[in-house]
Amino acid sequence: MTTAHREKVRKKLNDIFCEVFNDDDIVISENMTADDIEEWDSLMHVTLIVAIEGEFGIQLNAAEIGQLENIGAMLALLEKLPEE
Amino acid sequence: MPTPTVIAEKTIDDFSIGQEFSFSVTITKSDVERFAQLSGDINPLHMDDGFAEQRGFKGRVVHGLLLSGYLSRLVGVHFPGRHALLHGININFLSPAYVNDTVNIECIVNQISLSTRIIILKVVMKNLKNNNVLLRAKVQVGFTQTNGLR
Repeated sequence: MTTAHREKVRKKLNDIFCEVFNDDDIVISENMTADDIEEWDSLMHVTLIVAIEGEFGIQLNAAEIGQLENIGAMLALLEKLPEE
Repeated sequence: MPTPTVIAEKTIDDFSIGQEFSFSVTITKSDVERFAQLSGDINPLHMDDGFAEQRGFKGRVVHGLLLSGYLSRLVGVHFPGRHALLHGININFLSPAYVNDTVNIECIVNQISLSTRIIILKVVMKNLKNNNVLLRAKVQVGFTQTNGLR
């Protein structure tokens, strides 16, 4: 996996967070969780998952979603996808 | 178009990417006045033809949120209907609608998330008089499930 691919995934995920939470100032980091973004409740989490599935063109399963407890886990999952 | 009396009962399994649905509505003066009363938005742009014409419009402008109200009907009555739970709408108003215009609400299924039981609809509302696009919206819809009671 290249650094360029990692950066591309991180940028795409950051853009999704900015759009979903309607806040252009969000800068994601590995340890960030729902506790760090006030509006990140269960409904917004579902919206995030839908946005990630749509933007990355994937379908996540329940097990994968259950593991997405922080941004680091999201990045790790998304970085495994084949490069576009 | 009169208030619908039949509610569709689609579940997430009834949807596929690219599936389409549309319906049309004629907006009456009474609709605009009732919406102004209900919402409290009595801005003269919506209530006074002369005021609106002075500002370059053809007449009183239909409230944008009256138009978007038809998205509620789209989701809650037709597509999916009975089991729908509206999660969110991203909307852009692109051109004005006027009293007596007939608008066509067209939607296409853009995304289906089986893991979250949510669909994303892309909606275009057009004025049938001139085919102008009045609004574009992205609508996120979930599905309710019975809790087994009653």
